[in-house]
Amino acid sequence: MKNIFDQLAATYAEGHIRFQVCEACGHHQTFARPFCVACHATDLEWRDGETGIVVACTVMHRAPTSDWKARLPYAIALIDLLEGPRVMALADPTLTTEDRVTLKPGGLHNLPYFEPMVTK
Amino acid sequence: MRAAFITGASRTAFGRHEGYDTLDLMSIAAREALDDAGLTNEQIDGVVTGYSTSMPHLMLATLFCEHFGLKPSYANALQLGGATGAAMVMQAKLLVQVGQCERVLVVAGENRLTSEGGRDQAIQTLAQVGHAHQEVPFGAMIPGYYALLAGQYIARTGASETDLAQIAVYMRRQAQATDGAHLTTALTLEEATASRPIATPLRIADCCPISDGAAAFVVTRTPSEQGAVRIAGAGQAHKHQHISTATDWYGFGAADAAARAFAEAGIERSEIDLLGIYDSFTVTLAMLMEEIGFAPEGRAGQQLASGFHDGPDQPLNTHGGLLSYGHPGVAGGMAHLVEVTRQMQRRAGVRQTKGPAKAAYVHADGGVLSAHVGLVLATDRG
Repeated sequence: MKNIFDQLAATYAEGHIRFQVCEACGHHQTFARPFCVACHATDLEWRDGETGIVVACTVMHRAPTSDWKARLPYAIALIDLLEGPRVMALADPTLTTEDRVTLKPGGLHNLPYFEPMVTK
Repeated sequence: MRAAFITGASRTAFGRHEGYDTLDLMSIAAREALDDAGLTNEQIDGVVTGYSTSMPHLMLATLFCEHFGLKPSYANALQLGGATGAAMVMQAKLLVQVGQCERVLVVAGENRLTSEGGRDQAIQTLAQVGHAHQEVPFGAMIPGYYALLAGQYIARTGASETDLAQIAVYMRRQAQATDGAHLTTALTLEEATASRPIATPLRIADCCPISDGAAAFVVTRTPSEQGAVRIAGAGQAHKHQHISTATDWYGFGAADAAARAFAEAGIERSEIDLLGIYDSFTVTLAMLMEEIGFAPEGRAGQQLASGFHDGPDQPLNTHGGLLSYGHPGVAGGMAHLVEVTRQMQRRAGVRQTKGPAKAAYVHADGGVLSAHVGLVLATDRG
């Protein structure tokens, strides 16, 4: 799976979220792998996710590594993508459950970052 | 099928054990459990261990056997995160029931707090239960994963952060009567709700400490002279590994595991008069209690605050749980069952409940409400 995760990390670095959709059964999956977890078909299409709804958001005040310690406080959220599955990403610390969100262009810290959707 | 009984049980003090490593702590608990059962090393024909983050050995079961002087005909080491201890007991029960073993030693322990790297290393190691490529890169760690559950719990049920803090206050009160508890300083609701944030909405009072410690059991075909405690039922459920894929709010697996354990035991949930429920975080206990049906949705914290579990009807975590007795890894979840065993044998000293304590339920989860194991205990001879 190294190729798959290298590809995903490159996507993350640009601030994008991508997920796989099965061309055989249409199932979309949170975690990338070489096959569809629902039907085990191997033809998968990559799609972009850009908007979603906050499932939960937490502001971290304790970090797992020294790199992350330097960024405290930072927020992590679970997002139900309108385009597909639930994903984890960085997020605006003011977000709460059920807020509508969109990806910030370019992301933050070379990772995808969700911010409040501005209604125009 | 044959019956299986807990005939020996022990736990060390949890907290700081400077200079003691995994094998030292496992040996202390194993010795005490064998003494409690009145058995010698030669009588043990099965050994089940867990894992140790501070001694990540490929063969912990047989490493321990050599160190302790055991030559069993069956050995195994299990890994299911926080559910490991309960799963080890379930395995011992099965080994005895099918006739593979007569007397199984179940033992785990580690110096998670005082090992090299200490708390920071433990936190970094534990963060790896997240998905390596799609969760861990975001700076997530165990309290963060559970904070994401807590955020959903509060949003969905209407429970408050104060309700969760009540769980921390309850556990501390229990631990204050328990020799060997890691945290015994009085904790008020005001102090808990004002304690420093770790991962919102969770504060330090909502999180269990990282401890050193060990626990052990002996599981046998015949009951203890000190009071029969039969492992009447056991059940598991494993529906997800990572929080990102735990999308079924009403079924993380706790209820499924419990239902399987109750069905095997032939005991109804309403008959349970003693509880040992995993409480790595306040929200863990609330969600497990509510999914299994021991508290109404969103009301676990209020139920603990009401004093219901201080009475004789359904005492809960009378040793103080992970939140205050402490959490040294696999042994942390075993401490609940040690307590339940002592209560059922009416050997719990100053903590002895006034209730009958004839049918108990113990539940543990590993990962992020990922791996579930439920055990039903009964004070009969099968």
